[in-house]
Parts: sequence; C-alpha cells; structure tokens
Amino acid sequence: MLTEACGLRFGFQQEEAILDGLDLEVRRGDVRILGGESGKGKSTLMRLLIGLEKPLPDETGSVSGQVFLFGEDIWEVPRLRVRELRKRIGFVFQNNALVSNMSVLDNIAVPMRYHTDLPDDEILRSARRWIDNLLLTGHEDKRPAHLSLGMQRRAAMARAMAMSPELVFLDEPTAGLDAKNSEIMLSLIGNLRALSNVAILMVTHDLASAHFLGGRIHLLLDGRLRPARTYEDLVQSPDPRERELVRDDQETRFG
Amino acid sequence: MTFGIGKRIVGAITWIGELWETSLPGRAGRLLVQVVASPFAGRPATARQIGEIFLQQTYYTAVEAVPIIVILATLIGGVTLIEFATVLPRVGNSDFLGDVMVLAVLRELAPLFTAFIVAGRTGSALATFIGNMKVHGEIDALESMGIDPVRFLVLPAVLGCTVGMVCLSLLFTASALLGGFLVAHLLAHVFPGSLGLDMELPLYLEKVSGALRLMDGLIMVLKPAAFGLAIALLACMNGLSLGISSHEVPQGTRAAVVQSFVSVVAMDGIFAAIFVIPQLTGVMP
Repeated sequence: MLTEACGLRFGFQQEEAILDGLDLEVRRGDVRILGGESGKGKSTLMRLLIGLEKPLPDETGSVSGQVFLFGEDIWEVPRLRVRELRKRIGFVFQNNALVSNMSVLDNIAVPMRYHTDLPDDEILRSARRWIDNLLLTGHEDKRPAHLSLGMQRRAAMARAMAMSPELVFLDEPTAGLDAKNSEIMLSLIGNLRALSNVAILMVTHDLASAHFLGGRIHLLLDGRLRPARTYEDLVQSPDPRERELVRDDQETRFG
Repeated sequence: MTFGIGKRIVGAITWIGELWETSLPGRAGRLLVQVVASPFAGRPATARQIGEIFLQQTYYTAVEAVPIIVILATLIGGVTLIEFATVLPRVGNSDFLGDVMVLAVLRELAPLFTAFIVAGRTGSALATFIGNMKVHGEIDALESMGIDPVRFLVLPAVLGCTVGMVCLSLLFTASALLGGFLVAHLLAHVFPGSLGLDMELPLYLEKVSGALRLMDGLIMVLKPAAFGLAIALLACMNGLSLGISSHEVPQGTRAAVVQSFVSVVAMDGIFAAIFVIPQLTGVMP
C-alpha cells in the first residue's frame, strides 16, 4: 500500500468538518482520480495525505483517523521520518509552487541536490532529461515567472518526477490550461506512467481524463469518498448528484 | 493542603511555559534551536545544500551595503570626532580622544547603526522573500519533497546575515574612525582654530590604537554577530509564520523590522550589563 487514509476527519473549524470519516487506499500502479464539488476538500485531502495539514483532533485530543504513507502512520512517526517518506513521492500543486528565484533547471535539480550525493553534472544531466521529456527544452534557464502557465505546470511535473517517485499527487494538473495544453499535459502524464508505472492520485474537474489515464474515479460527496467507478458508470449513475458532477465536467470541456 | 499548593505551583509553571512559548523571545528561541539542530537532523548538511544561499545572503547583506555603510560611517565618525575634539579640551581631557572614539564608535555606534541598516535592508528583504514563498506555497512544495525549510532556507540565511553583519560592523568601525578623522581634519583646515582638532593622523591612530583593549575586540565581533543573528531569525520567523494571503506579507515584513529594532536595542542593554557595568564596578578589568 502506498498511501492509506482511515476515518479521516478534517475541517478548518471543529464544528464544520469538510472531510468526515473518509477512507482511501492507493496501491502500487493505481490511478485514482478524485472529483467533486469545488471547495469540498479534494486538495486538502491530498495535503492531509502527505502531512501538510493535520486532521481535526478527536475527543481525546489526538488526531482523528490515520494517514499511512508507505505503511507508516505519519502522525505517529517523527517529523524527520515523514521527510524521508516524502522523498518517495512527487507532488504537483495547483499553483505549481516553483521556487520563484530559481531557474527551471535549478527547480528540478533541488530535490536531487538536497537528497543525494550525486555529482552536480550528473544531477544537471538528469534534470535536462526531464526538461526534454516535458517539452521544456530551451526554457531551462528561465525563471518560473517568465514561463506560460502550461510550461510552469510541466516544470512542476518535472520536479515532482525528478526523484523517480513511487506515487505522484497531481492537484488539478489541467486547471487553467486551454484545451491544447490540457491535452499535452494529460498525454505527458500518460507517457510518464507508461515509462515508470508510477501510481497517480489526481484531483481534477476534468473527470473524462480518467478515460485517458485508464483510472477510476472517486467522487467526494458529504465529506466521504464514494467507491471508485469508471467515467461511463458515473454518466449512467442513478444518483442525480453524481450525474450532475459529470454533466458539469462535460460542460466545462465542451462548453 | 500540600497537594493544593503543589497543583498551583505546577499550574503556574505551565502558565509561564505557555507564555514563554508564545512570546517573541520564546518563538525566536525555538527557531534558533531548530536552526542549530537542522544540520545534524538526518543526513548531515552538506556545503552544497546551504552554500549557495549562504553566499547569496552574505553578498546581499555585506557587499551590497558597502557604499551606504561607508558613507554613513564617515559622516557619523566625522560628527562624533568633531564633537569630542571640541568638548574634551574644554574639560581639559584632550588625551582621552582615542578612548572616547573607541568607546563611542567601536562599542556602540558601529554595531547599532549597522544593525539598523541591516534590519532595514536585509531583515525586510528576507522577511518578504520567505513570506512570499510561504503565501505562494513554495515552503509547502519544499516540504512535499522532504526538504527541511529550516535547513534549506533559514540556516544559510541566518549564517549569511550574521557573517555579513560582523563584516559590515568592522567596516563601519574602520570607516568611522578613519573617514571621520579625514572629514573632521578637512573641516579643521577650512575653519582653522574653530575646532579643537589639531592633531595629525599618526597621532590620532596612536591614540585610538592605544585605547583598544581585548574586551573591545570581543565586543567588536560578538555584538554584531548577536545582532545579525537576531535580525535574521526574526525575519525568517515572521516570514514563516504567515498564512496563505498576500496581504500578510507587508505585515510580516513590518513586524520583522520593528521587532529587530527593539531587539537590537534591548540586546545592546544586555551587552552593556555584561561588559560595561562589571568594568564600572571594578569586577572586570
């Protein structure tokens, strides 16, 4: 098991839990897509899974529910151990969160420089390979602010893949991109998956991308995840709220 | 009865502990402990991890501030020397010019004025830089890669600012003592007889160097180092404590600068208590 959440409860205030008793498992090679209404905790769930947010306390004062990363409870093990575990994941944030005063090349090299003793020329060679893989050739010396949104997203993706992770978290990887760039992004994610069989947990409103990546969709409704379904199953779902979310997705895609 | 008193004592200690935890010295102290521990947490820190930001910070703190420090120090040194050179003969103590210049410039003016410049330039820039990283999710991105922001950002920034502050304070001292003399000497030539500054440079230098003691050397390094450390820690602490909204960045910057000014003056008082008061009372030579 790569990551697992059991009975997770989270809210920005105790009385308003947006995630309430949520369970999730991601296994090696899985592609899981999280859909649902905006502002209902999908991105927060991703942050909870790597320990960037802390679940609400239970009645005893400890965190409610458990989050396991590579089999270890991240709220039980020391912080240093959590950082060790995070070396095995990649995370693409919705706003890309590239370090603004570093070039694209340095952004991609950062985790390798920090975590390995590899010589710098080898690190830069590896970073350049990711730059080529993600169609950023010629932009390696630019600062993130000088790139288009699509390029920034691909640079964030390259950084996430730099340490050859076993699991990648993608928070809205196509948000804000035009149709062509969305397609390029999904195609690159598909290629990376084909190359490395990395497991993917992706938050998106573009539920049809599940088709493309061969993944199954969990809808986040009422603070809990519905069982994983295919896109076709959701289109024909007897639950009107599920059909509504898929309809919204189709309208977003096709206007 | 005994149990009740014990409970109250424990309660009072807990309350003091909580108060300390949330106070400015408590929070800065906690960050300092993290900074000191960070090179040894996990894989030992390498020069590659901290070198680049350390060099950038030292360059920004020390090298880029050289012109403003030299100009400011020369003017302040000149004014101070003219004042002392004018006043000391009136009280019949011209021989103490070297002592008072060392005391005023080296012990007080250089560390304080340099700290104010560093707090205004480096402290504000560092708080803004880290604050922007925080609100734009870059700190979270570092965390998501298993990178400790304290080791990666705060440690090299604190080291760079501390080293830069010591270098600048030494430069301020040299500029104030020498440049100040030149300014005052020039004025003495323009207005002959109006100023009591009638000595030549070799004699002046002899007076100043004769007034220097080991304690002055210690103060010359320890004070600016402590000020630089405090300024960098407060800047990083305020930057890291921001939330996710851009409007918090200027507030964090303002807090960092104001806290730095107050802390530097408070620490100056502590240094006086440690180094000067024992000398006055004869405890220390």
